Amino acid sequence: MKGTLAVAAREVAERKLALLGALLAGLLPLAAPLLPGLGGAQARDARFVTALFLSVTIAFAFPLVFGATTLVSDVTQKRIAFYFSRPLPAISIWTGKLLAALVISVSGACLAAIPTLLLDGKRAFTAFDTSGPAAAYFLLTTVLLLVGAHTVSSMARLRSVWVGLDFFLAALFAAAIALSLRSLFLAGFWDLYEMKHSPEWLVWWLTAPLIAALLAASYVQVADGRTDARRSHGALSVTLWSLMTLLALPLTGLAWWVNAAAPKDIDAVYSIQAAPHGTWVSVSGRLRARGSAKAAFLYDTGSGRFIKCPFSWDGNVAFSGDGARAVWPEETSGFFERKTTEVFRIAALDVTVPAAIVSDFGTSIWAIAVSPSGERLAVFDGNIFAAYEVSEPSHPRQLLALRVEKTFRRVAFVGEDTVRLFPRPYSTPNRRDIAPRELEIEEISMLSKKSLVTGHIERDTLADLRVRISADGRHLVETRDKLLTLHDGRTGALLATLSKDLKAPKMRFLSGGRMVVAGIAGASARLLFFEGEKAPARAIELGPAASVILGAEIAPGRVAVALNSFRSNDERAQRAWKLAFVDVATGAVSPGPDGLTPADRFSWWQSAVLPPAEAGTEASTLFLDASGALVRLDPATGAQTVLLGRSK
Amino acid sequence: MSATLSTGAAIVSIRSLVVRYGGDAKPILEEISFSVPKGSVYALLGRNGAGKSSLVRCLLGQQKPTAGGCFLFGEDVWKRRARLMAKVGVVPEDPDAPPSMTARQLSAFCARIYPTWDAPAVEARLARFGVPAGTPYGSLSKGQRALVALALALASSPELLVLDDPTLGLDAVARRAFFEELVGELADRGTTVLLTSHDLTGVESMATHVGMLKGGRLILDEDLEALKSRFRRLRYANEATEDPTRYGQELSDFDAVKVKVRGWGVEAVVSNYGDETFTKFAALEGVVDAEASALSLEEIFVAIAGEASPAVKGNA
Repeated sequence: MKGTLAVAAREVAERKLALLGALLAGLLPLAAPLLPGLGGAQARDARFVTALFLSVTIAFAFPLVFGATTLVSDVTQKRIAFYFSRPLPAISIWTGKLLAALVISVSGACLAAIPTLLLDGKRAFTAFDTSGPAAAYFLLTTVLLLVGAHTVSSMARLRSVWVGLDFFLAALFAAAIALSLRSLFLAGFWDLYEMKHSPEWLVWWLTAPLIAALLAASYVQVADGRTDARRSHGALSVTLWSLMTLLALPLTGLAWWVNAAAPKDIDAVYSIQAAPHGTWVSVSGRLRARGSAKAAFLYDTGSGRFIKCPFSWDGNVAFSGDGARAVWPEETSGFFERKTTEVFRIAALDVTVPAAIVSDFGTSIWAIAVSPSGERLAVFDGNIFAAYEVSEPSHPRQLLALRVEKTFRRVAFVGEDTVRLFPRPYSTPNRRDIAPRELEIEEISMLSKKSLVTGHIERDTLADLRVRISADGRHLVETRDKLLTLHDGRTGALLATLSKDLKAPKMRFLSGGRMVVAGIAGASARLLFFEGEKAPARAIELGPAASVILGAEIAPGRVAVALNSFRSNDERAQRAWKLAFVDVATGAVSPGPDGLTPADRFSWWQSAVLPPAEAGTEASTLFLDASGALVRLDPATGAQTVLLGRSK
Repeated sequence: MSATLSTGAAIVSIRSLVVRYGGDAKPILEEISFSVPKGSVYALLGRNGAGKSSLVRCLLGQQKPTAGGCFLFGEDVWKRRARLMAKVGVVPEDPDAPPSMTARQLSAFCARIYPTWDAPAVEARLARFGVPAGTPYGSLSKGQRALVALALALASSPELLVLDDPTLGLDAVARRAFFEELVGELADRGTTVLLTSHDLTGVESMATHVGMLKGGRLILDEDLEALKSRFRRLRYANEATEDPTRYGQELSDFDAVKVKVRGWGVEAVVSNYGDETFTKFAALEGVVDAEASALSLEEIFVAIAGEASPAVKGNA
């Protein structure tokens, strides 16, 4: 310690002129008000801005200059031998010199502000964050600049053969680390929204190992290189790149591991959408033991085959009616952040090894739909509507492209040749200024390549709109508080009132034009069954409940419902769901396993409009348990098979 | 290699030292081994580029040998440098003290890091040398800087002094002051000294042992008196043959390191001189007027090194 302080004191004394210079430079702000237009009331601001500029300049310049010269110059000019021929351990030489450079750098920045502080008092610098963390960041930044400048200077000035390797490895590691960090960010490994600390914390968390590596390398350089310039450079390079390997390898390994996740690594399912036929589902969820990382997959619950998709909360996957084709928009990304969707992918699922084909659409995709045959694709980007022939998924052929003067749309095929554009719920309730045309229903013919406004939804604003559209586009159901109304999908004309006194009503189209509605009446749940659009409701009482989720037709004539005595959505409520099966023909209600809810309970949020799952298909038998695990329920035996996630 | 070595009374012990730079095929120092006994003054001689400074850097723990090791007081200097340097005073070949510091400041700095430091002795020596203590080191002449370095090297009462060509480039006055101070120190304290030098005249008056580096190898490592007693210059006329190419054959009982045919006869330097052998030689048929004379260290150096180096000539 005595040696360290002796070296530090000597080094500071050697550079005392720099400190004097900083102090003298600090007098310049006092003259700033003499400049035209900066006097009078603005004098204090002028002094502050000039002093701030000076301090910041010195705060960056001093560490760079002294970092680049303090040690390296002594080695190149062979003056480092003065210390090494004394009873000074290498650690004292290194620490003393570094400490001196740090003291001069920090003091220089502070000294430049002192004259202004003396004149204007502390108020002059109220804009400065002088808290502990801010001071720590300032010190860390100074150390980073010091050791960074020292390292680059060593590589450049010691003139050994290592320099070529240094710059090659620097580029290699920079690329590896940047790409790893990028992929981890994109995978959501660090969720900045969920973080308890500020993103600055993460920046320093990532920078601290770099600072540590640079410090360690410069120490080994001094301790092992001593007066030998070539060995000094070698020691620096070997240590630095070894440590960088130790840092980069786990990081790249982590990035690979996080990104190599398979559906079996999903810990809890966030969202799921099942193909109307077949065993394919689109599923997204939080990954097990991978930080906050999430992933989305197209997953075959039958064979375990899967296609990795970028994680997306709203999962907009559109399946063809036969479940043999899936289409989804995909986000392309900036280097560290997500951007809007720009491509769509088409996957043929009925082949042995399904592959996704990328097709450039060029802008963000708001809505997507696949024709019943799966051979046509409709895409809407909030401005342009386009339709494609995708019988050869690798070569989509554009059929038409039309400008649509609307933004919030959902798309549904009405047969193969006609597409209907519906208003899409807009989730910001304060926006009452949406144009009335956004409530229009529009029809586009593939044959005539023309669009025609065919109707509209009768209301004032798009805000708070809650509609469910039948997959064939022939009907839409609007929910207004307790009122649930069925409308013609072409004109928007009211066809029937499905329910008017059920709280939080849920509605589901079944195959063959049938419909079910469920909601809370008083303190119990009730299910309404409709044979068709004109048929009267058959009401079936489900028993005491505070909330209800409507499931699919798990077997012909048997509809799954989940009942809960809680209205909340907390953990206690999650575990209180009780599944029941309703025979819509007889009105009989039979209990199912506890804790399960229909897997597609959030599918109303997704923009793709899917045909209803046929009774008894895979899609109708999928449920989530209280832990978020995806479970297949055998309606005949009641046997449960956990397909994804961990059932607790 | 172990950090300690049993070296008996040797203060310095060099063991199989090899120093090689970068991709150079030939090492600058090759399998060098020698010891410096306690209380001795060991003069390490060699021409420019012989590797003396590399050896000194290794000896001071400033440079890691490619192979072998350097031991001071029985300890590996690479591993124990900081502790060992408390017992060593160093005068480097190139002045390495910070140019902005005065001799007084340098003394004050050293006083903080050496276990014992005699600052008044530094002042006294500087006064004796006539070197201003308040002038920045960088502003002093080369001779003054060497004297400051010597004053600093002696202030910690070192057990070992390492002097790396300390008088190189010094004028006669500075050189004399330097050696006088050194001789005084040796007389007072019996400090062990290892020095490299071109200034063989000054060295000869102090050295007790001599080592000589040539072509990266230590070709001589000997007590100075023994060295001087076995080297002689022989001068004689040869009347046994008139063929100059056969001159020198009569020296077969000697190890002749250098033979020159002069107009008047033959001059040879032999490295295994003995009175008995010389008497026998002088009695040989055809050898006339044989005489043997002692050699100075510089003459021995020139004879062994092959030719007079410019530095030797310049400093002589």
